[in-house]
Amino acid sequence: MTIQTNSMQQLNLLSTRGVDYQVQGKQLLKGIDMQVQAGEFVAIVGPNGAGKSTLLRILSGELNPSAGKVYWRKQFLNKMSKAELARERAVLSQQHQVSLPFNTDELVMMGRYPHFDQVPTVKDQEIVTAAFDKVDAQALRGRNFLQLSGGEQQRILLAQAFAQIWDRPNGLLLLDEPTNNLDLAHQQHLLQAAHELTQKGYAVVAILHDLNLAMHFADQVILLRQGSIWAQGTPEATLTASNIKMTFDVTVRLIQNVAARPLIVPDFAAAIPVFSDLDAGSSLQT
Amino acid sequence: MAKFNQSITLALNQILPTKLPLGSLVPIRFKFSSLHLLLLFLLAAGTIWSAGMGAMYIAPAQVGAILCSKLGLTLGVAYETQQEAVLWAIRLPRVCFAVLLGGTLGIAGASIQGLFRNPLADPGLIGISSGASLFAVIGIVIQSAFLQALGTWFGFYLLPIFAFVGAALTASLVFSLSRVQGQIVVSQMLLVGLAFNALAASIIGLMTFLATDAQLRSITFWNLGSLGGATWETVGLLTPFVLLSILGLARLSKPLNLLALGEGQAQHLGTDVKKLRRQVVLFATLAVGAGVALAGTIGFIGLVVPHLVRLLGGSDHRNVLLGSALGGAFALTVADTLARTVVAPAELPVGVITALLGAPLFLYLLIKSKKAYQ
Repeated sequence: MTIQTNSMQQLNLLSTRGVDYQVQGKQLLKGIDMQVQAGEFVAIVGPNGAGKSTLLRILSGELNPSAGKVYWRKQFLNKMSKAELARERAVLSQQHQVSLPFNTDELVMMGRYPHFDQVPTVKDQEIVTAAFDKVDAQALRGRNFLQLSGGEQQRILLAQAFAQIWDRPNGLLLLDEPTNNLDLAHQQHLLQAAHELTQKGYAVVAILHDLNLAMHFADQVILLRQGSIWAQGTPEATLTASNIKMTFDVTVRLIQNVAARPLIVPDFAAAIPVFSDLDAGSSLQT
Repeated sequence: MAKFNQSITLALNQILPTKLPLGSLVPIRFKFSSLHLLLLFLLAAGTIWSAGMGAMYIAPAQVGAILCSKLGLTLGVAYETQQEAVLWAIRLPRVCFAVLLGGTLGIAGASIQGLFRNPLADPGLIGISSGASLFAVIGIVIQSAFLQALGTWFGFYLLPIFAFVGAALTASLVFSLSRVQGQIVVSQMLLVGLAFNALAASIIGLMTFLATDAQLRSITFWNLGSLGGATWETVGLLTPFVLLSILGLARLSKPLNLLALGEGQAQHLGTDVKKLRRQVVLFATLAVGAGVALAGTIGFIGLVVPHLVRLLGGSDHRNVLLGSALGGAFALTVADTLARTVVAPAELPVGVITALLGAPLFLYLLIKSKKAYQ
């Protein structure tokens, strides 16, 4: 299956100009310029500590940049109220911190909280049901969230995020390593669902660890290295063997794929066994 | 008062099948569940039972008849005028006091736990009540020492206001001291509470040392916790604090639910976390402060009741907040009735009863959280 770059709308939803972020003298992000169009799937990739999560937190409005500007459509993102923003963009964070044994139904309904005052409308209820369908989780309805497995919890929180922007085409979905804890089928399912959103005009920005998922699903890839953008553009142009070598310090080969985009595989012949000492140590302990 | 009536109409709106047109005009809506109805029923039964218990027994039917006669209705149940006098002048103010204070302690506990995102955050355990009593004691001493005028300006409200300020300051301080990178560290929270309790105890001890006999008597009162001082005047004094606090907190169930997802996610879903924190601290300590000023420290209502409500009806704050108010009112009414009847004609401090019931539950919660780590 080939995924074509979606060019039906050229609506600039989110953009940054020269965004820097530093905390306690450490420069976490430097000079980030990026644009997210409506209908676009943007993958943020890069090695550990490259600033991916920090960038996502700035895009979500959770952090204010130390310098530079973030725009949501034509407005400054950090001038918008939390409530206003919550009706337009949803965030799936990397680690959930749910502290009380909530029922999954109520948890997904929380995605609708920005939209109703005190009592959910029939429409809100319908959206919750549809969101459960979207993440293939009807079987989890009415369960205690804290008793679910990591992958099941992830799907419930994703349903919450879907519910939040369900009736807002041209909304934005931010995903921080959404495939964490998910099995192979649900990883595919999730990214497929996110891709369908982009076809309806939503924008999706996701931090992805699996470069093949980024290659396959993204319209635009942003490759970060040490807080700066190393490369950005179409997946084929960005995820090249030399870029991956420069950022991840791993030698890979790209295998051309007739029906789809290329596959990235580590070149084991060229790989240096960096972690061999560490592995030996840990196997001794176990 | 009008607002209170409206919210009652609203509560009825949720029960009655036909919607009253008033409903859509009112900003406050309680989701009235079957658990709330059960608690309301228990509370009604508990208050009538409590009003009848004591040296002079008054049967529930007689209590009903006396109350109805005040409204100009005759029920045809015989009672003596002495019973009427006792009920009206002694029992009812005390029962009303217990209902108001218990309700507000329950909802304050539930919302503080929501704010701290932890079921162990009881205003007594984490030092908020200590802060309130510390300020109340300081209030008594400086009022009589330097500022007689303060008392004449604020009248009866002086102590509750002092205690409220103390409670609010402590709550904010405990919150910021136990929060590390947007997360409440439970051990930190409990230890900070321990430190505040110790600090307050020592300063109160010092004040006791410096106080005159008359001051001493009122100061000792804080360490016991008793509803013995309940009169219609103190009920009147407590009422505005309680109404403000309950109406203020009941609006916060949605943002408190979101806060349970973590501060980050609560913000992503549109919650202004700072504003929420200020509101919870303000409205919860308003009640805790007034309660401490008028009845001393009554622990564990704010810990036990919300816990049981969550156990029975789930963690949704629309359920927990109102349920804790009703349950707290019921629990304190029953505890106070026990306090004044089990060793009659003497009286136990009600704080002793609530601690006897609450401390084992606190231990149980700790054991449970220990298991969760294993």
